[in-house]
Amino acid sequence: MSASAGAASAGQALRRRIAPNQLLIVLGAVFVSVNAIALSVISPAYRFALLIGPIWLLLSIGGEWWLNRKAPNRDIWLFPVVMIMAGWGTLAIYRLLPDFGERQLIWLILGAGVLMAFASLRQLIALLRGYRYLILLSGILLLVTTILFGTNPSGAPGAPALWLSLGIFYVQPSELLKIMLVAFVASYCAEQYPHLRGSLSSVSASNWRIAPRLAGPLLVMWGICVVLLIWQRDLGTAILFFVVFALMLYVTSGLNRILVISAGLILVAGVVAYLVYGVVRLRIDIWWNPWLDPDNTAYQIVQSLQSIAAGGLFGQGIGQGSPYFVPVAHSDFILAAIGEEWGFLGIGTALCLLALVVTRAFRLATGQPGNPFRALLATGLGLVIGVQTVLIAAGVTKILPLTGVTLPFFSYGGSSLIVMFAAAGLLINLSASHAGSTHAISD
Amino acid sequence: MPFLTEIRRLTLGMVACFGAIIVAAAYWGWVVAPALLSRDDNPRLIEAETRIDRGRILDRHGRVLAESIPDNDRFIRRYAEASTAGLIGYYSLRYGTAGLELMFDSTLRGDSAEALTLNALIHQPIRGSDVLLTLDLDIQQALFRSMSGSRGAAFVISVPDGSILAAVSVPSFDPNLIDLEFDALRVASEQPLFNRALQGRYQPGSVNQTALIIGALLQETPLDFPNDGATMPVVLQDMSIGCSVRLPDIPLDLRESYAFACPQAFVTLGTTLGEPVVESLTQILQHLASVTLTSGTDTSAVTSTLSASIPDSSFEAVILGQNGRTVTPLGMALLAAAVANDGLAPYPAIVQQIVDPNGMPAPDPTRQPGIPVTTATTARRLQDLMRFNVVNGAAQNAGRPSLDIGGHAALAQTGARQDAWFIGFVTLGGRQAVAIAIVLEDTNDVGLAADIAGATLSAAQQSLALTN
Repeated sequence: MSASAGAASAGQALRRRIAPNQLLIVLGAVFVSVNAIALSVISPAYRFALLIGPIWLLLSIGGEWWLNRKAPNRDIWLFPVVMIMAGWGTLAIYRLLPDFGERQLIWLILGAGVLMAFASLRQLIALLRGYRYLILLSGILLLVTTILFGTNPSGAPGAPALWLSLGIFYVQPSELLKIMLVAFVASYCAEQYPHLRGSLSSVSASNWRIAPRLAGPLLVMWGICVVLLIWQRDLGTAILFFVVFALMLYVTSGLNRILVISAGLILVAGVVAYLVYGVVRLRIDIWWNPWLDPDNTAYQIVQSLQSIAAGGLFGQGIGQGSPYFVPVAHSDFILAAIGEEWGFLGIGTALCLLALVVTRAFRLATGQPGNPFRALLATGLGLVIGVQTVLIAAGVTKILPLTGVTLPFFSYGGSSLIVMFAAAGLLINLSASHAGSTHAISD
Repeated sequence: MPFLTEIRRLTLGMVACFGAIIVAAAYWGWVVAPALLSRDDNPRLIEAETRIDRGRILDRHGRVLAESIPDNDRFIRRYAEASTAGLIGYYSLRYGTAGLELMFDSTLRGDSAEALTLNALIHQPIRGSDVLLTLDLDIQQALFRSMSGSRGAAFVISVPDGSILAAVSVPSFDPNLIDLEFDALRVASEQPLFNRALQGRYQPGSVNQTALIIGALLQETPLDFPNDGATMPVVLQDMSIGCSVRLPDIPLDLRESYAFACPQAFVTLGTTLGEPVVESLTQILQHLASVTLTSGTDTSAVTSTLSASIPDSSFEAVILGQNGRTVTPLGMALLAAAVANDGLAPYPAIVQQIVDPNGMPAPDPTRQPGIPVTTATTARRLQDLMRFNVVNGAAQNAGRPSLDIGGHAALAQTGARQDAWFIGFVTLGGRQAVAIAIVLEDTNDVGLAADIAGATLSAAQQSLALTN
């Protein structure tokens, strides 16, 4: 046997022994541990960083073991990729604000538990479909409760009251609403799908009339988003909900005009909001030209861009840059912090990991023949992650105005992280029980 | 599969969005990164600056004049005392750098390629080199103390090596408080931030007589021919220019006129010497005024608003040092040094040694050759004339027992006011001497200038005697 043939056979043997998910866990463990050690030696303030690596590894190995037992046929990419992102995010937050990082580590542990639960509850998908109106009602109740009793943990006067206080901690209902919305819309559209597709076939391409069963929910959803925008000044969540809903409706109906009309509605709402609301006007103005007032109103976006610039290709290294100059770098602007300390390669890698989750969700959706609910649910979950990423990442890089949403899996926030883990758990659940499964067909 | 087409389009759209964001990140992180990072509103610039362990500035005996003190993860610049502020200047994150801090900024910051690369790679703080000055803190303090309450500048130079032993600009300021007081200092009527020693240009007035007397000595013009009306003032336009001290109407020869800086005899001398000779003599002063502490830096572009020249380009104005040509305190100190050094003005040096962060001294900088001003014989005769001035003339206050001091005290008209000058030297044995030039603004008290010089030269003699 030649040397090259021997090496090739050894490579094949290695690939047989180490599955991609195991390799990702190893790579993730190395990445998280090396960065945690590097951070811990910088300053005594970072001494607890050494805990992040072992805890992350324990969660990852434990999660793989659990999922191997409960969901052996799952998409093996999702869990390790999600864990790498969440571990990376925890490190970045800990580097910026050690107190917040410690809390994020607790949310990471809880989130991993939620993922396990959502991934392994066999009846969960069926329940989401069966109780869609209860889910919708709960969602609306949550929204109303937040409008009435919402608060802001910072206590800053005038800050958006998007949280509900549960005594020792706060939850952000709009995060929970994301999954509820996707579940409801997927269920509704799956039921209406034959009619919607039927209306398509009966209408010529030049006819822009839309059936009431299509226009109705579109306008209701637009109305809910406008309520979010007016009462809560939550621009990001309002846009996210509407875009996700519109795209799910597009997938269901196959009508390109849905995209055009939705874009028009966003434009109308945007113009009106620009004229009526100072916060929207400010965000658009500083997006258009941040250099007019870089030390005041546009400070955040200017610092974000300078943070990315300071990172260059390889970044300054963890703990070596100055990402703390970017206000709320641990939350909405964590991508800028990643850019400064891990460079362009860090931003590219983070976006590729997120894109991998989104494309795996879409791939999962296309692998659900004969089950439109499961296909639409997977699509919707992928859209929530993808659209939210695009909104904040495009805002941080000045492609779009800032909308104030978190970067999935990376940003600080218990509600956000747990909901994203729940979405990942649902995707794993869907992947584990899709093709040929009687359980899947019965949903 | 009913949704296949739409989901594929969504996938493509989503990948395109992610791609656009990556392109944008590359744009901000690479293409425009240098421009973004060099903006004034980039706080990283200030942060990086505070992390530089700026080198120390030391006097000739190794006493610390300025150093950077660690404070958490940054450094704060501290100055030993205010007497050196006029020369050393200040280093402020908010208001920039001035004086020697500016002149040796790159050395003090450690801006070597190796240091910058090391910092970029492993984020170690840059340590700058120490600058060991020729300055003598004892002489500096003595000069500063003597000049307190006045406005003006002074230089003390070691002969024959040209080392700057002291340089003072008053009124001064506390560089440790520059961030707090800068705005008030900037608008203060006495302009304490204006560095009179390094940047001030003054009307020479009767101090120009030293150049003219060099001409007289070179042409062997008799100095003992009495002039009637020598103490009478010369009227130039509407300005009356008289002796340095009030004298009765008595005849004085040229030596006595020089001793009291009376102008009448020098107008006659200038006319006798002729315009080309007087022009060449004033050119010597102009050449000395162009000399700066750093070769290649020409401070002639910096103009002082402190001295207003008389807009009279007549030959008489040239003789009296009252035309548009100004001189510097350093240039006049070099003239005095040339007199003490047999006619050769030593090239001034302010740095004795530069020591890198590892304690390794940099190679000694090449000393510039001296500037020939006159012949050795002329210089020695001029020394005697200056000694006579201290014994019998307006420079009497400079005299100190057992010290060989020579000098010339003179006035310069600056429009509505006068400046008092003193240039002189003290010999230390052998070829060693110390030269001094002092200018006090808005005063006709040449006795004060002479007294300050005497005290400073005495301190210099003591300090250098201890050193040797």
